[in-house]
Amino acid sequence: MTIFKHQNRSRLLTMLLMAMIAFAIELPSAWSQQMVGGRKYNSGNQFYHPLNQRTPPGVAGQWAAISGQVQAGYIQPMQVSLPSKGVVTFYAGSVDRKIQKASPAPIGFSVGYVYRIKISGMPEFPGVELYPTIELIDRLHPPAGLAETYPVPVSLNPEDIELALSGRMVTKVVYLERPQTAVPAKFERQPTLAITAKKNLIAEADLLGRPMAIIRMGGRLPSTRGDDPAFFGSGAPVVELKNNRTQN
Amino acid sequence: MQRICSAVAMLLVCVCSGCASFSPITVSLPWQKQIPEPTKEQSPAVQHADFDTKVGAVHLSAPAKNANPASAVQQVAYYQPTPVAPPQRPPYCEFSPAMKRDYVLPAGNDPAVVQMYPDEYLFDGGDREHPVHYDDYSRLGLDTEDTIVEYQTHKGKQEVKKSNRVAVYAPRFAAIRSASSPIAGTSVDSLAKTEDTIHGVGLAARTVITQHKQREQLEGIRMRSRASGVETEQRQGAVDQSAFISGHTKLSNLFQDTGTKSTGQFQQSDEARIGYQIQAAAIWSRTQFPVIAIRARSAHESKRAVKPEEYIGVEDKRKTEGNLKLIKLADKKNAEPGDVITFTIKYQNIGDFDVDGIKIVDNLTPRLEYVNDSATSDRKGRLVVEDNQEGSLILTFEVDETVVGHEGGTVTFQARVR
Repeated sequence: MTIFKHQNRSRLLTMLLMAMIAFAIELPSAWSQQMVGGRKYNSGNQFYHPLNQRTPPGVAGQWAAISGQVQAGYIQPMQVSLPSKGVVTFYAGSVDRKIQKASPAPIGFSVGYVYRIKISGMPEFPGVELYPTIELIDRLHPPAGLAETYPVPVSLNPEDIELALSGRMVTKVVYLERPQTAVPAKFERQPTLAITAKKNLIAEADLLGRPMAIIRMGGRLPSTRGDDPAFFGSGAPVVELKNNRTQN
Repeated sequence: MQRICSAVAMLLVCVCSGCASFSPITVSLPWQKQIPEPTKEQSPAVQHADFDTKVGAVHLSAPAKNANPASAVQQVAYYQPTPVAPPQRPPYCEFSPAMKRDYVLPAGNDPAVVQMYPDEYLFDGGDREHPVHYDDYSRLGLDTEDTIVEYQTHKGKQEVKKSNRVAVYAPRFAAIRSASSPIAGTSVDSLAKTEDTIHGVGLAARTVITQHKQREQLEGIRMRSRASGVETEQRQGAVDQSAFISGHTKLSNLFQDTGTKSTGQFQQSDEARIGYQIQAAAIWSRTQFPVIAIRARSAHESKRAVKPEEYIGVEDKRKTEGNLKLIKLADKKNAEPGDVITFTIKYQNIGDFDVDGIKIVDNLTPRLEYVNDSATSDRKGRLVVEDNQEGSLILTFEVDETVVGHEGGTVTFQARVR
């Protein structure tokens, strides 16, 4: 009986020791993560990214809102710009409530939602109408009174539209550049880095900066056989803004 | 007694529950949860009172009438996760017109927000990451954004100080794109659009270790020593030496040697001399006693006290060592790409003694481009510009003049936001 007790005790001590070793192994990896901007960044991008460009629309924003990473419902000013000219149509809840703006079009979107927009009237692509979606997953924190001066820019360039017209699904992640590792050059348009679709787009954007919005653009059109309210979003709030910015 | 009390209590409960409609005082019990009447939610026309509709076209859309989870058809057509709690109105709009707000946001950048979201700001100044330090030949730890001052105190000590950190709100965005085809297993990869953001020059060093063999062979040395058959004979010869000590007698009587020539003639002239010599001999012949001379010597101690009567000179009231304080300022708190920011660096010697060899070093962040010939200084010196290998420049202001205590100077330069 005594021997049995001793065996149990030694087994317990062994398990305790193993648990301590496992904790000690995990501890440095937890320390290596750096808390910047309310998000956990890892210098080597070694941690697992559950989200990618194939994740259904809305999941990334919903996770960001649930986790408290962003303030749910915050209205973030956006700016949608087309290659040169054109019309951007926003849907404030339903297809009947349209807000049409000339490019570059300012708009206020709520963080954590997916919005459907329509782009048309582009002189480079006559007669083309595309319906991309914008999923806002993060927000900016500007000084007081400067939120409209610094919107999150969504720039659709000709390559994006050509790829979408050729039948491909274009996924873009707009990210906030990290100033220390930013490209030391001035760009007239938003710099776009193209990578293979096999890679995790969100993970790559997270490595370069802070992902702010996911834009998905394909050849899908709304149904012509009747109303398709779900196509135009879930009725998230849309705030119309004035045109006060001209540059991209 | 207990039964009576419980019966009374039950009776009271029955009366209260049964006569609730009659009694003006209603008692709500926990199990009497009143279900409120379903109120029809109506979306207000203007849901945010802070917006100024007169200023511009401010339109706030109404939320969806059906905020419940989407129907099955909707999920098939378009997957839209239901928000956790659909807000009735935007809870926090920072871009509302300020005059309509019932609260006042703090002016400028909130330090807590700056610390929380540093990726939205351009920084210049301070000492980021590794602190500046030195080895025998070079300066180490000067990262981008760092601004330091090097100087020499009157004691010859080399000092380095960092400036404060200036934050300018200037977020910049970029995009990353992938295009996929609905056909599984194919992808479109546009390599022509790939931008390389890495500016480090790859240095491949290869060291081949050459094999070096050294072989030492011991040569056999044989030494043989033989006992030689040399016989030495040593004979002890008998030496006889006879020494005879000869007697030597010397008799000298100086007193009697007067040098008088005994010529046999006694002259009169010799009489006096002989007489004197006899007298002398008589004196000398007296008992000679030792004469002891005693001389006393005493050590003298000398004491001297020098007391200055008058001290003439200039009193130096300076006490604290020279100490430079570096303050950096920017003329903008927020900027956009293309804007020019004027940075002002003030240095002040808060110590008493002079400082020399002032060098103000500013390593610009990659998004700041130095505007040529924009540097100014109110003291004599020069500007040295060098590449920081990260796409920007290191500006070094070398001040030739000596900065006395409690004085300072100012240098300025301009940088364009990329």
